[in-house]
Amino acid sequence: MAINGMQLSDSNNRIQWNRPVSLAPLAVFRVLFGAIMLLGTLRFMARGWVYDLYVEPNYFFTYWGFEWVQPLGETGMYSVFVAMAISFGLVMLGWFYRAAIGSAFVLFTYVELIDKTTYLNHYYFVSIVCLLLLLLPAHRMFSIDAWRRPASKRTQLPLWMAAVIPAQLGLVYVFAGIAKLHPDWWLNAMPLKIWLGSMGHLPVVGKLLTQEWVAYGFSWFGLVYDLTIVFFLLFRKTRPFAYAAVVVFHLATWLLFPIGMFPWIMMASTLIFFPAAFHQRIIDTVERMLARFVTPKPSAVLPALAGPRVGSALLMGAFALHFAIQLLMPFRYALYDGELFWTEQGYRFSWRVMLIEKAGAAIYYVEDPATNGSIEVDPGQYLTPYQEKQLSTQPDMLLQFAHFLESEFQQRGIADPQVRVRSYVTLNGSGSQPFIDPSVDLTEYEDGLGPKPWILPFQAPAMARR
Amino acid sequence: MRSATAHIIGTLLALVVLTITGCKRHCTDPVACNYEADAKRSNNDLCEYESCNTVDQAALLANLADNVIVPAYATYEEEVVILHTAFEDYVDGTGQPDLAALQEAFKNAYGKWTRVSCYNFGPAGDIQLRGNSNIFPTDTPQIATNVLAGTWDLAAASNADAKGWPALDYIVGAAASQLDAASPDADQWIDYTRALIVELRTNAETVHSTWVNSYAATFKGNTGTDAGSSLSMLVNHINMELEVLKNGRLGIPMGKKSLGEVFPDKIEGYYSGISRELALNNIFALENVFMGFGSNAENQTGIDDYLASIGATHADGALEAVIEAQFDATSSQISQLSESWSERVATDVASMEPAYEEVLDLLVFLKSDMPSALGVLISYQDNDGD
Repeated sequence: MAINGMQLSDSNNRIQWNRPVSLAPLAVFRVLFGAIMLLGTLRFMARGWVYDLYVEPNYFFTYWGFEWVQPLGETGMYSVFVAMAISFGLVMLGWFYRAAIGSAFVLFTYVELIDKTTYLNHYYFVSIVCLLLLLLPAHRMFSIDAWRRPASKRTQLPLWMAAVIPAQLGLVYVFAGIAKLHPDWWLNAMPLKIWLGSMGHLPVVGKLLTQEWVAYGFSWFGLVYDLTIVFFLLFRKTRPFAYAAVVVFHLATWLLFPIGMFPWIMMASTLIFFPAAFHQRIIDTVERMLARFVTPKPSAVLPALAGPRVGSALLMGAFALHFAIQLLMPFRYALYDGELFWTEQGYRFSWRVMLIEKAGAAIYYVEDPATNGSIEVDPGQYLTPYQEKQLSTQPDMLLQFAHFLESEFQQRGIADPQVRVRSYVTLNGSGSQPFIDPSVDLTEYEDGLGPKPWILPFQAPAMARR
Repeated sequence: MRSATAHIIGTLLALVVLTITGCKRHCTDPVACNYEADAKRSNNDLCEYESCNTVDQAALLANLADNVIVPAYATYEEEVVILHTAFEDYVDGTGQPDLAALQEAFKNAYGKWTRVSCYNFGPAGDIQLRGNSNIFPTDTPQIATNVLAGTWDLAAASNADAKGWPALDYIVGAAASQLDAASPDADQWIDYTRALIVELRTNAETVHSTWVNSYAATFKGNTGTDAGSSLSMLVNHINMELEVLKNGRLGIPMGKKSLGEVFPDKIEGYYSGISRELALNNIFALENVFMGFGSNAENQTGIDDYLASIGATHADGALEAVIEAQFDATSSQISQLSESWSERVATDVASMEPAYEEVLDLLVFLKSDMPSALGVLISYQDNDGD
């Protein structure tokens, strides 16, 4: 097999995983990733989201197993984001790289773990890439570290290391594609039909986007794109067209949907599929420009290969474990009964992007069994509108909030409060339906990985109207 | 920058589509909504007569601004001015003071307030019109303290529940005798009451004129579905108003937040006994903006028509029809209650349950189905649709 013009397999067609390949693609990836994440972090701060998401709320929806992760207050959270921006800047420059990428991983992941309200697949992707980069020698060329210590500079790494980031990207796309095989996506063009249908006000394109066939066109293109793009990116002949498709696809999503930094991350990341010579040209050009200002330090004849000196088997094992988990995570939903989009049991961490349009309304009832008295609680009394919106449609959050109310009203003098919720949700235009069994006292249930029997089954709508 | 890019891409896309569809056959039946006047080739099998995407957001916003919201503010301002005049007539000492006329003017104006309270964004949001007009129950000891001190700061947070409509409700209802010349503190009471009316009047005039002079155009031009768009703000404030109806007007007095302990004196319009009228006006205001039912008493372009053109559904049928039926069920249950709710809350709170249940059902439709179908966003956060 030959990829990027390099012979990767021996005469028996076995891939030679230890074969040295150029480090340039990974080094350029490191620079682009660091740069985009630096911008993304600054953008996040400039938009006031540090305050809106991590200072203003009085309650945070932690993840199961990570209940101990708590925000650090206003000064603390701004410090975290400043440190995060500096870390990504250092990653870009390749300066104190291991410390920088380690700190970027810890800080970014910490922030994401504070409140599942803000969960986005691309935040999960960023955490994973940080972790993978921590284990890869992405700073051994095209970096300040390599410039300051020429003896540390390398130009190659073994194929099994070079393949890590492309493999992760491939997983993201292919699983995003598999998720789109849901009939709602390709048979009903949902939820794109709803989202595009609300864009009639746009100049020129508005009339077009509200056409039903356009929703189907987008859905099917998205499905085929996600499933196949990685394969077309792998081969020289298809790569230019594939990358053009990457740009068109992500620019279109960026223009039409409030999707944030994700399109830019993907447009930059997929450049890693380009041949080493392409990346080497970028590096040479930049280094030529820099040579006007700084003189490269003379270096002795160096070993080319940046392989791990020790623990190579350990590292290989770590990557193998990571990818095994990655391959299994998106399928864990099959262990649960019911419509995945409705129950969301096993929904997160599976590259399910833009698949559901869900909205709901929830009202809690805190009841005192001693007196049979009941207190109606609107979650909006305690939550931000964004938190309330996410709460209304996600069973684990609805359960968490019930436990919050339990302790809240215990403090107010109800010894053993029972908490029930009256909730309705509409999924992909189904129309609102009862969501959680209103007769169940949610304080009887703890959050966990087990099935949630108190979610009412989804009744699929008879027929779409238009 | 972004819209310019969208423009260019849109133009390119449109050109591509025009090229592809240029030689296609068209519907030549003038009655059809996809009628092509200059069609070269005809095929009337392609004609569409229903479910055409005919309502656009600009038309919706224009009708809501011009025929629903601005006229509602105009009427509100008118009634507040009439109230002001009635008050001055009542206290000027010439002729026979007519308390009934003052109370009538008060009831009319308060009723018109609940017709505009749901538009608490734009000019109304800027001056926090709701918080400055209608915090109830009113704080009667604070009112007496202000009056006897002879000086007050209506902008102070401590006076938020000692002014506006609920305070006037108390003064022209239960404390009207304080305004009589025979009352020892009549002058202070008159001054204080006048200050309350003048604040309401000034605010009404400010909001109305800002809508007329500038904000209506802003509102109409602010199309889109993001968190700052007119449609998103409208949907959001319809829901906030519905929560005021559910909690303030009904739930809190009914004991929904207090283990069943009822609060007859926390009812809106407690002293004048017009709680039903206020709530009905409120629900009609919400229904009007949903239906696009304007000052000319015609059902014009409303959110319902927009939902119809999108083709939104519910298990029970077309979404707009389901919501309209729920509006009717809600107002029907509310109108079956007696005029004053304080006694009813005190003696037979269970009889208010059917009305409350209808409000809860309406809330589900307006908070869940409607925003989802319209695709409006409630926050500016990034979103990958999960």
